[in-house]
Amino acid sequence: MRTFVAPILLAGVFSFAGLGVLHALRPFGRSPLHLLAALGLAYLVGVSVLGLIVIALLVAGVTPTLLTFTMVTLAVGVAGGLIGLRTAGRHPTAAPPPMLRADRIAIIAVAVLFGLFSIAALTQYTSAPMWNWDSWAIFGSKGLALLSFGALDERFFAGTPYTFIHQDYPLLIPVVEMLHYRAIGRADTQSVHVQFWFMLVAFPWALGYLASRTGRAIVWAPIALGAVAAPAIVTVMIGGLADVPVAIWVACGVLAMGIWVESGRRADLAVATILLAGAASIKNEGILAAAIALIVAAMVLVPERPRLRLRQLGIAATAFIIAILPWQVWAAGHGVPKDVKLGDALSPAYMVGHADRIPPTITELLRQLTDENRWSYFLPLALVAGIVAIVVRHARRAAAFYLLTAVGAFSALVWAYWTSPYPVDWYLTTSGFRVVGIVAGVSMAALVHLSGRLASLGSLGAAAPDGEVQPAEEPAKLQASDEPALTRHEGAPADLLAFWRT
Amino acid sequence: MSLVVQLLACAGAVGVVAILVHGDMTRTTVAASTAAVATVVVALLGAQGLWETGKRHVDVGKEQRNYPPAQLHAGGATAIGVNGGFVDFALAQIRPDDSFYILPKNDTVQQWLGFLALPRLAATRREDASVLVFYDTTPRREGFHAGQLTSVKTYQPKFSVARVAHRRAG
Repeated sequence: MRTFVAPILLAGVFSFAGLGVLHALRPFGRSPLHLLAALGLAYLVGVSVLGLIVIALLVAGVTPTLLTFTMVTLAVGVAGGLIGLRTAGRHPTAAPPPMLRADRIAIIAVAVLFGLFSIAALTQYTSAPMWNWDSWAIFGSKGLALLSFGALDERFFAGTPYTFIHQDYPLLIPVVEMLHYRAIGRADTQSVHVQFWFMLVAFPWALGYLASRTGRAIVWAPIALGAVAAPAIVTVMIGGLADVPVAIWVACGVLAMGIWVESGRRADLAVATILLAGAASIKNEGILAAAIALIVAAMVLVPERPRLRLRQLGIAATAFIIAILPWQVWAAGHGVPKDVKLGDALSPAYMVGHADRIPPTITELLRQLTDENRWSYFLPLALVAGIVAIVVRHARRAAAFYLLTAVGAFSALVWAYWTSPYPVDWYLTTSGFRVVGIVAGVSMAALVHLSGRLASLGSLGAAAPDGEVQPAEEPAKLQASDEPALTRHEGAPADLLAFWRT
Repeated sequence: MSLVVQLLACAGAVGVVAILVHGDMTRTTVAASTAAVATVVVALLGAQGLWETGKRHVDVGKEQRNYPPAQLHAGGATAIGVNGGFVDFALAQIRPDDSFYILPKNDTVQQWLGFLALPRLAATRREDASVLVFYDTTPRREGFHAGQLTSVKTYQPKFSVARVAHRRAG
């Protein structure tokens, strides 16, 4: 019974904390339906925030017992709720966008289809043995160690016999697994897969909630469904690896950032920062993707020099660094070996000497990303959507953000393989198909956002965030109702995009 | 190359939809067609994928629920080519306060045993271990002689576990 109820309670706890955080950032209205709509995003935000706090507690030497975790959850959820209540009068509440009948039908159809799938999939997620090599060797081992030791025991987390667990990987997934074990009262490596099921279910839910302000549901709902149904997501998640979770967090974080780039609403930037910090605490690729998204967001804003927004972005970047710092400091302080040696990776002589690793890396990573049996054409469709957005001069800044973030994430992966000490062919074969998830995640975010915006330019008038459906030839702009002065100009960086204007 | 082909195909599909549905290729028709192509392609592939994956989840889930506990360990060991029966035997010999060391060095066995043995930890050096695990070798072949080891327990030829005499635990 406890094995059945406890994971649901744990997911509820994550969602409660996430709802508190979201409410503090932008108070919800009184509609229960709106809370329900926000639940997927709240879950991802809750996992990020509580996971980061638990990691900080572990670094500080505090054992995250169920009591400690409950107190932290209550503190986050209640504090968020109170802040939201206090600011509710000062800021406009987050209200669900109005919908046409076709939009409601689209959402209901997608919810029913994915709901049926989720229930069917649950049978395997509750019983899957932990047989995937990286799942037990890396994340499963760490989760069990956290449960057993209640601390970051350096004999395990920095000990020579355990280098195989990729000791430098961040700890969010092991922390979730440890919390699952504590919740159910035993180390059950089968039922722990349910936590991955919750992440899978939250993914399209969160994408849809974020995208609901960018366009009509009839456009974004099927794309959100397509994102979670991409074979590389839906068939790999059961393996208990961190590659799909990091892609999920990157996709949602980059989408929130893309919406902020376009709208300037601070709450979107805060959500993006939390989710990107979560991604950076799942896998090292998440750190790369998050850093690139923050840098690119600054790049696409800099040409217009909006000082306030750049200052906000600077604060967000600082918060991001502080959030992921505890584990990085602990790992550095205990001499945890890294997969990539920064000294070599940034050395021009080393890079030139290993330049022969670049062509096979680019070829293999592109082959993986364009495998339609894994990523369902997300990359080419996102590239076309981005280019079209720039050419037709609609949502250009967001399009530039997504295109540059995707290129940056891809380049970062090439750099990682280029400067890695491992044999490149072996390394690509064993990991290339998984790590491209961060680029695919950016593509998914781009497609969900830009398709809605492009559709609003055509015959599908977009439902704007504050209520009205925009006429077809007057494209809907995301309104920054709390920072109206920041969102008037939508131009893309002239130097970056001059090519597309010719 | 395949990315170029896919980009051309997607762009071509956008153009065809714009012309067939709207009759021309203006700024608005291209934008709307891009959204339509993206939505339809991704949704159709997604719906198809969900159906197939859902069926597989149900089938595999039914099968997995009937796995006996022994098969859970055995399945993982078999997947990586490790003697799972011996690893379980070795686990039974390692006490909570023991540290173990595998001879000869074998990364795969180290990982599997290291995972299952938690919270019992592996020793960094064999001199530090209280239990030695001889995997596909014998104590003699590893340079040990009578008196250095106590309570040598053999699972099958060349697979045994022994306590180090001078570091008796507990």
